[in-house]
Amino acid sequence: MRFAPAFEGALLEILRTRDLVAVAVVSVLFYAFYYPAPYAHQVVEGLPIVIVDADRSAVSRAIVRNLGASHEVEIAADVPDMAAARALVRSRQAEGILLIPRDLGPALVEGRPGGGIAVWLNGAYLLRAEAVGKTIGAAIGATLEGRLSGLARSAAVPVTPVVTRPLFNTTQGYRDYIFPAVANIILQQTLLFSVARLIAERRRTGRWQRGAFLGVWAACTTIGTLAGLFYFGLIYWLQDIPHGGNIPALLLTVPIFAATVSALAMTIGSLVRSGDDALKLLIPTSIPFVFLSGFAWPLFAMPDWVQAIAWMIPVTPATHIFVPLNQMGASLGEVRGALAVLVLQLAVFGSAAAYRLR
Amino acid sequence: MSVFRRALAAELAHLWRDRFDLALLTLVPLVCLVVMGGMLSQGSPRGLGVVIVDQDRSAASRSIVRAIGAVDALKVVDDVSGLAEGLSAIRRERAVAVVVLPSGLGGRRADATPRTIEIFYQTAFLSTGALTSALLQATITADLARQAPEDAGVAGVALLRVPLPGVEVTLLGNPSASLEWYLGLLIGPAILHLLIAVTCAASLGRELVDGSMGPWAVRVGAPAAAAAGRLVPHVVVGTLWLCLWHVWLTIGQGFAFTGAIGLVAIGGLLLFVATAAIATLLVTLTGEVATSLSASVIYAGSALAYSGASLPITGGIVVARIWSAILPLTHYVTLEMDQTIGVDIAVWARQAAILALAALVAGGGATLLLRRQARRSA
Repeated sequence: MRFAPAFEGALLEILRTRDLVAVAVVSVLFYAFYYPAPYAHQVVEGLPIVIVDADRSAVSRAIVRNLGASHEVEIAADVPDMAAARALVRSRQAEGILLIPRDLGPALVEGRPGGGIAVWLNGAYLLRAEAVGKTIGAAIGATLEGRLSGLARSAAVPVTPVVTRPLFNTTQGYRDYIFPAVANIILQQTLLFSVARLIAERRRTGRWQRGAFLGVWAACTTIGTLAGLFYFGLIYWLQDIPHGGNIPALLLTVPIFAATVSALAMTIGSLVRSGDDALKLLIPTSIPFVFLSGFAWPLFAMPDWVQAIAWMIPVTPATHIFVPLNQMGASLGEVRGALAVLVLQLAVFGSAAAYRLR
Repeated sequence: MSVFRRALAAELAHLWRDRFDLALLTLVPLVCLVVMGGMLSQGSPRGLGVVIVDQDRSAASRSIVRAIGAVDALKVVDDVSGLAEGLSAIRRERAVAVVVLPSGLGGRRADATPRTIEIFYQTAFLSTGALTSALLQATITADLARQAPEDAGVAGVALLRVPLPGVEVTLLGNPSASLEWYLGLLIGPAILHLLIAVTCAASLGRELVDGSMGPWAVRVGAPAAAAAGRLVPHVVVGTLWLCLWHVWLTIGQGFAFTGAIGLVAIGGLLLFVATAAIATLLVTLTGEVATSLSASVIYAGSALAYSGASLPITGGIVVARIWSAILPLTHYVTLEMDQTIGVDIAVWARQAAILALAALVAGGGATLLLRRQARRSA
């Protein structure tokens, strides 16, 4: 079969078959808004904290006032003792406890920063606990620092400030962190599902023709490339996610990614009995693939054998190409390691698919 | 033999015959959970790369570099002359952060204007970036304070710049602030929830004829009982895998629930019953396997994002909050996380009741549809 009819036939089949267009096109559109929605507010807001203020001084009231003014925390209750505070946590009416001890003022004058203040947080939700911890720390720090700065001046001892400067996702927003990583898995999985199903169904119904391989591969790569450019261009811009760091490099790498995923999908599609089997096998991989891409748990913290598996999945090099290119403005040279892995995958999966569908 | 037992026996016989479907309940979860367990097994991340830009080259700056190098989780990967080189190392993902130690740092500490130490860190991969910057800030500030012991009293001002300075922090349910325990509690259930959603939908989908379950419903007589019998193996297998995952996390990795692990297991069982009921509803509603599977990915594949376990959904948009409240995984995760700190039984019962209600509503809807399709086919 010649290239052009095979290309056109595959493209039209994907666009005209309900199951395929639903996954390859409609899902891509849908996920662009569905996945970022729970992270749209970006940062922790209004987590309930219970206060046990045993000091009842101007300093302790200032700490509580500062805390109450923060965006992240809401003062759920001000109770007289720890027993009452613990009861509120056990009944899940509060996420944490702030205990301000008696005699906070004298402790500070003696140079004991913190002065015995204690915080209990629900550590099971670790990221949430970190955010609340930072907020409480900032409220205490701001209050006490203001009161102690006069002391430091009088002692004529300057203090070296240590300042942190976040790069690339400067608001440290969750949506701007999670979506650019998950977008790659959305692009990979939607293409994997649709192409594997296309190939499996063609083979099951006896519609696969010899010589159609290159044309079909090109058609699937075209669909994947358009989806990638749609996300990195329009959707990132619409959702105001850090984007467009290195557009020329993206124009080069997105088709390589789409071709790699298409080749892997064609191989899988050639190995299973039907389109339904392809979906049954591939859908459960979605969540492990997200985590193996190394965005939540870094790749270098994984054992070698897990890293080896992770680098065999297209989304892993893709994440470490597209995030630096889109969000960090990296040059092509700076992502060359991940790009080399992706090109190697392209060669291996392309050869496997060509062999299976020759 | 009752309809329920007949359907159960038929499904077991099918799984025995069809090695592909059997592998979906055995090999696939085994591989997924082993790989995820392996991923988490080395504990919290170590070797977070730090590039130093030491413009001072003094005893003071060298002391800070030594202090950073001594932290287990951090690793000084390079010492460069300018910030641009350091930022390039971040873009190459060779480093997570760059520390700039300004000239004049080791001079007389009584200089009127102190120099600022800057920590640049990447937040595109926020979890590692935030961890690295917090560790660096604490390490550097502590070293500065150590270098000025005579000023111990007022050096406290510097310590105040560190998150929670001198404040005693206790993390309930996760005292070692373990990312492994936190992610482990989320990843296992999320994978199994999606897997069981897929296997249940695919199992019932085998009986679809021209987009309808009607002929099957007529044949079995009592479709609700038959669907229940058919999906019991999936629910049981899902629950067993979840229990094994928790055994690995607790006995294997040494983490502990302050509450009762048994209550978590019951929650898991209810989650999979709800998952099976929703799968039945999806298959009867859509009349297509592929569409049911796609719908399963949408509701179960993204359920972790909507569970509020990473970013609380409380401040989210209304639609996201409503959808989060509808999804069963949200309630399972809440129930499971609650047991890490130990909560009142009434709090557990509320989440368990919501999971049971989800199963009843979806199962009830599916039963009504099955009966209607049976009437049409009869």
